[in-house]
Amino acid sequence: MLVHSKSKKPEVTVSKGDTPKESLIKGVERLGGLSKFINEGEQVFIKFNLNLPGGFPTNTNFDVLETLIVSCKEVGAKKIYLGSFPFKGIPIKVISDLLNLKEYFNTLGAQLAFLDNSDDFAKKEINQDQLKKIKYDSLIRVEINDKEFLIPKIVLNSDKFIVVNQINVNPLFKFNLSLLNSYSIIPTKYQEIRKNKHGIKEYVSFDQYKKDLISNILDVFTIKQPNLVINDLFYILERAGPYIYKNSNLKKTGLMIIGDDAIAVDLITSQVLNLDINDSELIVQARNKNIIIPQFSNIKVLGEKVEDVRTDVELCVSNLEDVQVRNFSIKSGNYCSGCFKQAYHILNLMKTYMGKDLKYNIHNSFLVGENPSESENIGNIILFGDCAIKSTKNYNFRKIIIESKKTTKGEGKKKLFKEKKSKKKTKIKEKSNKNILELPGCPPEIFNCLELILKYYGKKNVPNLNLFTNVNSFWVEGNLNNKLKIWEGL
Amino acid sequence: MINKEFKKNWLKILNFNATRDILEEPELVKEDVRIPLSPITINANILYHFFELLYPKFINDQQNILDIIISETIKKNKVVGLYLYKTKKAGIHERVESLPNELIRIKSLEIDKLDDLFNKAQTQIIKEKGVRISSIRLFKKEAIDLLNKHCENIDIISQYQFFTRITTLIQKFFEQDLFLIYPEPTIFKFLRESIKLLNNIQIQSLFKFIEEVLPEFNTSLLIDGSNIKVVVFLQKKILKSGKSELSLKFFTPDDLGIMVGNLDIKDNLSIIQKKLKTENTYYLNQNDMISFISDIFELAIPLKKDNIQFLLQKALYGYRSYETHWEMVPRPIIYNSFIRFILRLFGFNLNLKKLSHWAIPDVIINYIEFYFGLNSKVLLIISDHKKNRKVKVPQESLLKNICEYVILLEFENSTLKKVKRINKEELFSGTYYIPLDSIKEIVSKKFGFVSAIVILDKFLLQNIAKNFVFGHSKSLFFPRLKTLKMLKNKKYLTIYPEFPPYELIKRKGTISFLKLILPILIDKHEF
Repeated sequence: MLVHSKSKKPEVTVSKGDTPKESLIKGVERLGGLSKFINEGEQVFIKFNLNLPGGFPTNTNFDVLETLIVSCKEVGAKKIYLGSFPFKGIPIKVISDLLNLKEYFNTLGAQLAFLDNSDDFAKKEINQDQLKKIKYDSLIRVEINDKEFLIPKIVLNSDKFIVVNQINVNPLFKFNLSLLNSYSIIPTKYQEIRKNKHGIKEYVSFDQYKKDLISNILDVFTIKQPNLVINDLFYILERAGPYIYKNSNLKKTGLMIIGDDAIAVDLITSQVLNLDINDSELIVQARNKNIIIPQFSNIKVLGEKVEDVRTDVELCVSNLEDVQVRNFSIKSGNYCSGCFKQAYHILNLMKTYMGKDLKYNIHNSFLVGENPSESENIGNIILFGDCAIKSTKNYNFRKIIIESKKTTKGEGKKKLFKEKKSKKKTKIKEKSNKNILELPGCPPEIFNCLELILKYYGKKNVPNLNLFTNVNSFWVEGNLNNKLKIWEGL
Repeated sequence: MINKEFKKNWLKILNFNATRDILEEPELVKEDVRIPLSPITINANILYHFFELLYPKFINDQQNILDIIISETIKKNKVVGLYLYKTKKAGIHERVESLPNELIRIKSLEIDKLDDLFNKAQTQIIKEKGVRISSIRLFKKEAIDLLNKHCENIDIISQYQFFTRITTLIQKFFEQDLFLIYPEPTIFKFLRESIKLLNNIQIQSLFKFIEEVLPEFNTSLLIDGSNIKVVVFLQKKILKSGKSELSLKFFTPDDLGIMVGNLDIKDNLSIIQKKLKTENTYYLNQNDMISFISDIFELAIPLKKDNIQFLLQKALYGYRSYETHWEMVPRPIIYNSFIRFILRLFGFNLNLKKLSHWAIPDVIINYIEFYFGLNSKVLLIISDHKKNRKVKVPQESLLKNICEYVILLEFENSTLKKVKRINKEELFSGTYYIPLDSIKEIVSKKFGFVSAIVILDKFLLQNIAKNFVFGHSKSLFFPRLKTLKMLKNKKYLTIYPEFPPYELIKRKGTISFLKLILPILIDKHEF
């Protein structure tokens, strides 16, 4: 077990400035300058947030990255690489092209690391063998706690590893702390938690998904610990995150928390954000994994006093019902964190990009988790995830009972012949409800779900979603995305 | 001290206001005055009603005003003029009384605390004149000098010159705090903050730019209010010399020989159109207009996302309210049921009365927020390709000569926080053309990471104004299609890097793109 082993007291600086650049420079200076962390001629890898081809704060603040790159060059770094694995299914090349990142970093004297080799497989027709060779030439297998992880060689071979982490609210961990950021140095596919050894009941009731996820995060963290961690709180995305949604709001604090010990930096960040550290499952499990968690009293805090800069931030909703999607009744059963996270994102996407669609499609239910309560509406029912699909197999809404009363003779004839009232026979028919959309997966994938929703409602009925998928097709679908899937599967 | 022409006109206005109540039918008075500070002549009675309506709404709704003119010195301010307007109705200036300058003494500090100054003046005026004032208007000596300069030959200058002069005057007044009102009206707050936001951009050049974008037009408006009905004539004519001429005239219905109450609105509009020989005539409700304008002035600058959304919704709602809140002659072709039926057969549901005013701003803002980010810097370049039609440069480059304005827009939490005009020499520094990535690099190095560069050609803007704004009522199917196609041409619109919504516009056929977005733009239900 590779444990956190810093003998000296970890130093963390809390710096405040008028601009992100000022906060960063001030903070690094307080720690003794960047030369304390980087020696001349060293290769530096900067891990930043690269999630989607969107603007700040979906990704790290590029002004902060620019300041850091310039500082690294000033202290004589030989090579500076920047990289991260983005959202599932999106090649780095696609994001780089849409945001013009490669060229931008080049002009600063740094390089964007295409950790998924998407720059290679974009160049020419490439066969599977070549793709496999490229993949395993750039990744290295690391075994830890009986688990195998693929880590980019460029990260392991770099002399110094810096994490620049944009603090946004997160539905699972309250905030995106640097520990979570470090996790995306492994390919997205390997970040996923696969359900294999547990029965559904245990898996959900013990929230095994989250436990496995945390365990993996901590394992990956121990493979390569950062030499410098920058938690950027200058602006915090609050209410809905970590991506930009309708309810998202950007809060300006002017703060940056910087240190050489990721856990210490995260602890101080949590303290500034008024989080009880005992509530943090990441920290609790880290203790169980024998990772040393420094006591607050053992952390030397420089710069601003934590008490003076404490900030209240509006967190993401903790219940899916609170997302409040128009004309949707959300029924939750017992779900694991995997389904919660994906359902949270899909509901927020619907709320943000389907405003008009939701107005015109009334009576919808969204059922998630094991044994959700019965849907009261006879409208459209969306079953999100395998648990919801399986556990509602015998629910009443699955069938519609049609009662029809038939008379032996038609009313007209009856009047014509002035017969006595004929007896009405009530016919009861049971039909399977066709207004059910099943979104399979454990947990389901967001873009697949959106496609299924579009197909179910029909393009005419959900024009906003239709536009959304058309716009997204430039980065969700395409040759490069397909090649990435092959690359991941090799 | 004050310009003679201005004074003469102002006294004429005061005189009319003072005697108006004794007139039997003031609506029939043929007396013309100039709108203060402008060369535009107007019927004195209309101006009376404008003051009666607008002054209380936008400046102050109480009676009696004190004008103080001060000359700033190092330690104290010298009062060089003190004028009391006793107003029976708020905003209706009837009589001006010059008071002795010694009545009020102002220390230089007091200018920053206008409430103290107001209280001091109030006490003195009650003591000396026995009336309560509701507001003070403080003019610095420089303001009077500027006003005098502005009023030079005011009655003979063109309206274009007038608008140029007045915008410069307003900018100077606010930038240098030359004219203050206490209590401060919201319109002042709005203007001050807007000018601050514009940074070093001159409103005069903004006006010049807007004027260049506007096509030739010739229109009239019938503004219907409870007290008065006014016909406004608006025209832009391009002269043979290439220069343009603006024309703004006010008429009473009586001037045009119309009895508004006697006829149907559309008949009245037709008469106005014929008499003034305009392309079209609009009917607007005075209260709706004032409500919209006051909503704008009440917004806090910098405009927050919610406010922009609200404003857009209101504007779109106004546009869709044809025949309920506004009318026009000739009737817009798109409201012809047969035409809509034909369009519907081809799959286009174009019922503008069902314009989705509530959903459109939301869609636009959500996409901008996602792709540009909540914080972003956008470099806006206004180009003019007409100037250099024959010169060919690589597609991903920008030519120095065609670059008209370079403006950096800085957004924080989706709020436009800074606007900065950049000198194009800073971008080109000796070179004739420059690749867009280099522009991005240069500006990013100087001002921070630029999320996108948007290059908009003036010709595209002119076409949009001509075919979609001023020609909204005409059947301009092909010109409109052509304008939409221009959005795909890099010559007229470039967004760098190309973000997916723009890529979609470029790659999709114009017709299929329209089919994709029309269900979003137009509401579903016809009832």
